[in-house]
Amino acid sequence: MKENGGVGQTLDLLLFASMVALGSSALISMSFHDSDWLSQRYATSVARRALVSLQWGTVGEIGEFSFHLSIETIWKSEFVLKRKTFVQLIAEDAILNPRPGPRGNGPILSSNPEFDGKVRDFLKRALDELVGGRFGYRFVAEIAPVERSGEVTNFELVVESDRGPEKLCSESVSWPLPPVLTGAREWDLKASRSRLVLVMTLELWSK
Amino acid sequence: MSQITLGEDLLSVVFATALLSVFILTLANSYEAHRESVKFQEDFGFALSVAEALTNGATCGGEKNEIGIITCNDFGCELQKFSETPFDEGMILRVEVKSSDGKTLLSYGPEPADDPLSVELPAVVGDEGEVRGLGDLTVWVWRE
Repeated sequence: MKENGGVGQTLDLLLFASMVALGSSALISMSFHDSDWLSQRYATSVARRALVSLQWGTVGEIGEFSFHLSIETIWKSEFVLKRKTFVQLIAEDAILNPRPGPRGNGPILSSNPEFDGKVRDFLKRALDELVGGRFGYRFVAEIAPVERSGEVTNFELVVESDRGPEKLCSESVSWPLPPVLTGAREWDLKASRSRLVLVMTLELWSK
Repeated sequence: MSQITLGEDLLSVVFATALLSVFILTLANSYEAHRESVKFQEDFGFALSVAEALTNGATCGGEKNEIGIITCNDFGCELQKFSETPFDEGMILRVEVKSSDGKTLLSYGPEPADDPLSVELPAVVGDEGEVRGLGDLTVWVWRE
């Protein structure tokens, strides 16, 4: 009888201990879940403000942006930009350097490849400064496929850094581009406005 | 025989009590960690709310600014509203906007003594409709 009583008491205590352990693990996992949500909220805020900064920030704040014209002129061929915003640079790159093919995967139809390369380098520097210290990132600027002169062209610019395994957020902003000359060499304002929209997406990842 | 049985029972009870004590200590520690985590999340959430409100376009001047632009005129006014908001007693707030070259453009609140919790967001500083430049907005929160 005594033996059975001791074993029963021990079993009761073990059962109670296992319930305590379950309670502890529930509390700990709840804390981690909440902090995940908070870091995603913070990442979303940073991504939105970074996109706004690209919209308003001028090139001169990061450094000097210079490029050469790809055609011979009687004027100077090197231009230095300081007051253009980052979004204006991307928009000009999109108009100057489209890619053929519906997914923009054809060879670059560059009218100025130097400009394209420098815009990418410059954006990398800007994004490193804005978000690179805290997060890994992937920035994509793209224009939906447009048909011009019977050929489909597209634009996609990707700038990215080393990233960790976890994607924290993805924020996008759309930027309408000015109308462009269509294949018929007429200002097709309605069509241009409805088609040429630059969409910029910034994904933030853990480091 | 009866002495041996009594010894075994005692040993079982002592073992179970020790185990139980360990589990109760674990529970107490995890509860403490959870409480600290909740407190941290509250403080961080509050600091983030202040930073978001300041970069969402201040409304004190009557006209709503562009999202993401902090204006010098509305900065103090907007923060005044936060100071009047009822939150935990003893919580102190410090807000600072620095330009990309590290110069302090705007500041509010006392200097933090040690290294308290802080939230940093990219921001654009403007003045009377003109963009002055890129910067970093930092909000520190600590308790007395």
